[in-house]
Amino acid sequence: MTTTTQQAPSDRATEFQAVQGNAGEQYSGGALLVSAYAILWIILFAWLALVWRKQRALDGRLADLERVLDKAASAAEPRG
Amino acid sequence: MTPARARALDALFLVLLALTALLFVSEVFFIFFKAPIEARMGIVQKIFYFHVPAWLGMYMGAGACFIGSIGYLVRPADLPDAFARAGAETAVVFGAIGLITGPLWGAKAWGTFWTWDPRLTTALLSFLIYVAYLVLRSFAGDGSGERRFAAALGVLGAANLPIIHYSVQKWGGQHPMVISGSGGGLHHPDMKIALAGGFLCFSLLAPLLLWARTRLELARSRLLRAEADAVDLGLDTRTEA
Repeated sequence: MTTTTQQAPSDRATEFQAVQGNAGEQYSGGALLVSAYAILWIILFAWLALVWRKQRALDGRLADLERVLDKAASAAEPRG
Repeated sequence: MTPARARALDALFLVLLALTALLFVSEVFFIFFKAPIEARMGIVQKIFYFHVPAWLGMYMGAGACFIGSIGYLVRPADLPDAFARAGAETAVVFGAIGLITGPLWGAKAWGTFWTWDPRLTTALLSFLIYVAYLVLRSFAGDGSGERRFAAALGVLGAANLPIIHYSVQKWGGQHPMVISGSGGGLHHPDMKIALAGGFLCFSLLAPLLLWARTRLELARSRLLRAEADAVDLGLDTRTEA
């Protein structure tokens, strides 16, 4: 029995040529589908992170306001 | 709002959020394991089941921005302004999902990620209008003049929405028109269920995100007012080092 997979050195490719026109199956459908799902969740979670950051900024400002109000309230208290 | 009502609304929000999460898990399972593979396009057609519902989410956000903007122009108040701003942000998030997932499908179906098809072009234009709205709100301050200007943009921006919808019918182009009034082009019942599931998931998710964002925006407006009151009383609200 002879093997057909073994190539002689002279049969090997010696140059690369670009495909002309539409190359047909350029992208894997499965990879594109998984990419689309991944992007969907990345966008939603990025938005969640942004909302969280805004919430944290509000918390910080609220804490500042509370501190100022507490200070003003203690200054306004009658000294005994 | 009474504390009891606030607690009831919180409970409703959490119940709807849990239901939406559960529906999303079921929907993903159904799309991957039950819905059939399309004969010509193959597995990539399954992008359709959340690409189209994402545009529904974008329309809901844009609709909220329109309603909030009209409301603010008629009677300026924090609630319609917050609703409009949350709507614009929702429109941008879901528009981005639609604009990215569509080209991923197009790469396989059309052999190119992007083409200046009427629907793609009008959809991109609409997305950019809401991005412009958010840029305006972020950088132009929060005075009544800026709010009115943003509200006008929110109203005018909505004019493009019906154009996106009818662009396929009026100007043709490459974009598929699978969903139609005459029953649509989904021939397998599981394809119809997958699409209906997608619509259900996104039509729950978009209002929930809109709700959460509106609430945060209202809290920000209340805080701004409280800070202004504190300054009027001679208190310095700046962070102490």
